[in-house]
Amino acid sequence: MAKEKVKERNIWQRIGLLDYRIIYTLVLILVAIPIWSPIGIPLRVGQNVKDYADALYALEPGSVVLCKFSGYATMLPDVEPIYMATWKILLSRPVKFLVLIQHPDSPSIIQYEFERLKPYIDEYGKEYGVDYMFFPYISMTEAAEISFTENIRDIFTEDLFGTPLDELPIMENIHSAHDFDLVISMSPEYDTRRYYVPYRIPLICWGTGTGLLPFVPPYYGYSVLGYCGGASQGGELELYSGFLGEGVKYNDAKNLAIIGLMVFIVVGNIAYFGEKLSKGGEK
Amino acid sequence: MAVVSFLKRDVPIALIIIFAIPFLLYRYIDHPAIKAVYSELGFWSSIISMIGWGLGVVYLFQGEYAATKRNPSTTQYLAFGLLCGFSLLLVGMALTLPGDLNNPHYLWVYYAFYRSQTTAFYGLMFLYLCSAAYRMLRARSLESTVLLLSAVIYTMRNASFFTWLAPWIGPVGDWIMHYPNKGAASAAVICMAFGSILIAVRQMLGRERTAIEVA
Repeated sequence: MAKEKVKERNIWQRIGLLDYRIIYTLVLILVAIPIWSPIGIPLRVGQNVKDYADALYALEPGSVVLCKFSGYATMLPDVEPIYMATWKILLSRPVKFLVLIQHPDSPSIIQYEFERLKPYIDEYGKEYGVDYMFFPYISMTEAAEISFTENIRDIFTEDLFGTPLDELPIMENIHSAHDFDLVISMSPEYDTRRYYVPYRIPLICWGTGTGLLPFVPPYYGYSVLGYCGGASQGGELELYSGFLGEGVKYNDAKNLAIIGLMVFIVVGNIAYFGEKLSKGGEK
Repeated sequence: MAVVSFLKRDVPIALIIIFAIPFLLYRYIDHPAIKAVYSELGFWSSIISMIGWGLGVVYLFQGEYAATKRNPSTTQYLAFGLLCGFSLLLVGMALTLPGDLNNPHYLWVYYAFYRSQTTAFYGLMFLYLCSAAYRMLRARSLESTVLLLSAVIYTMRNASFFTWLAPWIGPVGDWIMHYPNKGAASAAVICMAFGSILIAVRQMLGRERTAIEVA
């Protein structure tokens, strides 16, 4: 019975109802091609990414940046190029940065990332506790974070490694959000409320392509100076900053995947209109 | 019955009101006493939240155990066995290995196994997305045509191949993101804000069933 039905389908219906396994296989082949042989498709750096990097480059010497870091395994491939490029920019600048860890997995990830950044840390002569530090993970509820902005030591007495905050030279003159000059945020809505409205601290945003990009435009140009979301924009950031890494490598695979997606959308629509026209002809 | 109602309904409402008052006052009155109470509550909210993580793990075991009893199939036994095995592995590692989460053995499990597995699941989404876009993004009506064109232009804007091929795609994609999307996202944020106020008031009046009578 099912076979008879398949036989009844015309060419347009067959094109319009491709088996999902064919689609998956073709997409996998397309994504795999650049792994074997990189193509080198040119990258275009978007204005939002330029603004993101420029906000970091515009920091005065001695500025303090609060980096709200929420790295975890699932989203790392999409956002790690942004993290790594941002750390490299920050390490290359005469600024201090505090990392506020916001996910249970993040303590391991931040240390793993900074292990990989050791050549840059050495090159720029940076030191943990003097130029940057990590807060330990706690569940940052709304109330906890507002207390943190009022007095950091109300919430944290030690850093990630158990060193009392007062023993870290970087924390000498840092007591509350009044001492921050820039916040790197994953959630523009929350941090506009927590940092920009009460303290007028500008934000730049980093995050995944799907988790950040649709939600940041209402704040871009107001509380958010620039933003960078997803591995492809991570590649743009790498290109713009000159710190090349994984993001640029992902560009070919992403381009081919999107070309595949576009071809399927076009084929689907050709099949739809072909079927419609053929039905019209029958009448 | 009256005692049960008191515990399930009146006590949660009383707690909500007691804890909501300092949070509300904090927004409107700048006083050291209110700040101190707020700060203390903020600290405790983090502790309670962390206990929630622990309770989540307990509920996970409870749920899996109940599912295994209800449906004692090989797959279910395997799932429960794997859950117990990995939990034992992680707890055992945390208790026995020096360096806690930074122990190389733990990091190996995390990066070689957990990260690969979760990333693979994340990657699978793109395959589903391609299949869904092929079937659903068709110009069937005016609305679906607008959706199709916006989706196509914005997706093409994210691939540098297309912006290299047709440079106008970049600005048009940006326009879609920064104007129509901005309007919709702003409306969503405003709705969420009003919705939050509404839910807070309903909770304090005892009319929000999700805040009371928790099983």
